[in-house]
Amino acid sequence: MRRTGLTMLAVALASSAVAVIGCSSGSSSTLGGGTGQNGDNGGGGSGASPAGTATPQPGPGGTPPASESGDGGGADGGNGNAILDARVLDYGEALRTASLKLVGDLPTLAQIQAIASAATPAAQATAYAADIDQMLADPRFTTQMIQYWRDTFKTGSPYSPVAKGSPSYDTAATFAAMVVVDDRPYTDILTASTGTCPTFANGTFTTASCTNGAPTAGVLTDPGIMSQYFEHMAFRRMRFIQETFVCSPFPAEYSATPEPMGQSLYTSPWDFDSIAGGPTAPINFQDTSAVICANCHTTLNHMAPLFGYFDANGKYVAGQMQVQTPVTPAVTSQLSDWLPAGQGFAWRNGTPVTDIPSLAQAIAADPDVATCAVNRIWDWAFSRGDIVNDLATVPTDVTASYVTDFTTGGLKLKAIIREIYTSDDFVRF
Amino acid sequence: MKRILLTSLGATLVALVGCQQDASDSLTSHQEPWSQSSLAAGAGNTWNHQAQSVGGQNGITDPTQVVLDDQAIGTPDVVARLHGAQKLQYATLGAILADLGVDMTSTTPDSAGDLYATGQGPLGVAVYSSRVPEMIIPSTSALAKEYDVFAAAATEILKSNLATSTRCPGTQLVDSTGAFTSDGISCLIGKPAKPDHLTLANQLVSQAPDTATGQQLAVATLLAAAHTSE
Repeated sequence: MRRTGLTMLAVALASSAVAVIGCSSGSSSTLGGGTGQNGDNGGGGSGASPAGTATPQPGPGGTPPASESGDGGGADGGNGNAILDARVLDYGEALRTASLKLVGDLPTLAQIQAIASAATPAAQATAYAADIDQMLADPRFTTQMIQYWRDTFKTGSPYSPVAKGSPSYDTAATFAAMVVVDDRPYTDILTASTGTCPTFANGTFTTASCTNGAPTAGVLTDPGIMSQYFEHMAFRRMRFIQETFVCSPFPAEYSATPEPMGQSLYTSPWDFDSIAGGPTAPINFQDTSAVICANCHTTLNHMAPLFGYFDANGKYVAGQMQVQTPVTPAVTSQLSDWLPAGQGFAWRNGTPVTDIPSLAQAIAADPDVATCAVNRIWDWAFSRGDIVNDLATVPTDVTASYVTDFTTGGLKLKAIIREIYTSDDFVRF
Repeated sequence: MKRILLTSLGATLVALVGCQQDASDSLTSHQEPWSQSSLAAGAGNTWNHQAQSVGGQNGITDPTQVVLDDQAIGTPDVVARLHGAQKLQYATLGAILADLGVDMTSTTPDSAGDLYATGQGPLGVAVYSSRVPEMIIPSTSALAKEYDVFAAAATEILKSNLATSTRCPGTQLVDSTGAFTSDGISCLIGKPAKPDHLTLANQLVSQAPDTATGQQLAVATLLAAAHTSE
């Protein structure tokens, strides 16, 4: 009873304190007219003119001053938005946020004090950038990366044991984390042909290849992923690939000349009859009576059969389909259930592939995939939720410079994490 | 009620005529009513598309509402450049409290460790078997549970007085006079303490019925205020 009362009181007090302290972040001068000693750059009260933001500050690590409302390459479009302008430079808050995300803990007192005691914003920026480097080299960053990929892949087994017979649901996230931590090209996550089922324990990766018999292509053939996304005709596996690596839901392709069809528009660039359909087909993907199935399925059906050979436990059975076509009763799928004779596999219309490894290469070469990787890091850094499920889309302008750096810098995601966490946007609240 | 019924019927009809094959394959009378495969979205049904993210995985209920909410803030560019409010991740919460001297393995009823271990659901832990990642929004349940944990942890944190903290070696949260220290609060909240933090904390102590209660309230309040979001 006493605890309950204490809790209630604490919650009530906390609510007040949240309003007073938490939300004001750097501009906590509302409480006492702070004058920048804590890294708020002498910011004025909430809603006041953004003191300290009128003058461009030196960028992190002693880099030249960046634009006020955006990083070097991504201004806010010059719209002079009052909200962006009102943000206050706060390296103390940025350090805390970055530390929670990059190492899963609060910063040390020494780090906090170094920021707080730095004489100038430039000195704070330097100390902060050094802290970010330290975090990226910290073994706990690996753990955080594994968790990042678990949540991105929506699969993992950190808290519960895996059921007998099931594959590990952690190897995909562990491999993706290993690629990032080891500074390998991001596309290895999609295309690596060996060592894609590592484990991580006691701060160390142990490299291992998957043993599910698949023609290996990064996490695309990971047994845990294949098991997690097992479904009729392998469509769920396609959705995983599209949403995880392209950051958009199906339909994935659009024609420049959509045609009226049925109750709606046919928007795909594929020939309408490039997928199975008609009155004799088990599934009529050409149906137009309500929605236009082909808008999505022209893309889906040209890939999905490749993933139909993985069973419910992610094991690859060459030459023998493991998924079913949902007629009643369900039957083992045949290639003709997806595609009519003469149709081949493809990533997109005009990008044919022959097997999973070549599909992986095509995906890796898609510029949308690089953009997606960067945008996901942006959303993670800024606590914006999932780019697809939470509609946390990122305008091109915001991350364009990072995407350029990513693609010209060898697709090293860790470098982009550093850039974003030290960007002008990240250190403003 | 009528609207709900019509909506349900509409959804069913859309499912029925959507990607037409033998349109009646899974809703025919020979099947058990309410069996998994009899449902339009059942696993055995053609229209068993993976659950659409109408609700989002983090508690956002309506995509249209998301757009409207964003528009109220500014352009998409502006919205994208602002920090969101993310709840502390479950493992992070545990790591922070453990470093502050809280026994996170405790099974004593209502201890911080116990509340933490049994509060995975409210605290938004991932349910990967359902393809649900760890929740990031600070939901009401997550915050309420978090505050419970903080309130329970306060006693242990004060008892340890940061003596075992690896983040803040040699620091005391409360000095020999019973007053909070600036460094101690910085350690607690993870960023530079402001004079107001110190004032508020010590004010809570002075206004409480007794020092111990006041200190507990202050610690719980500071933790809750600071760690409502990342």
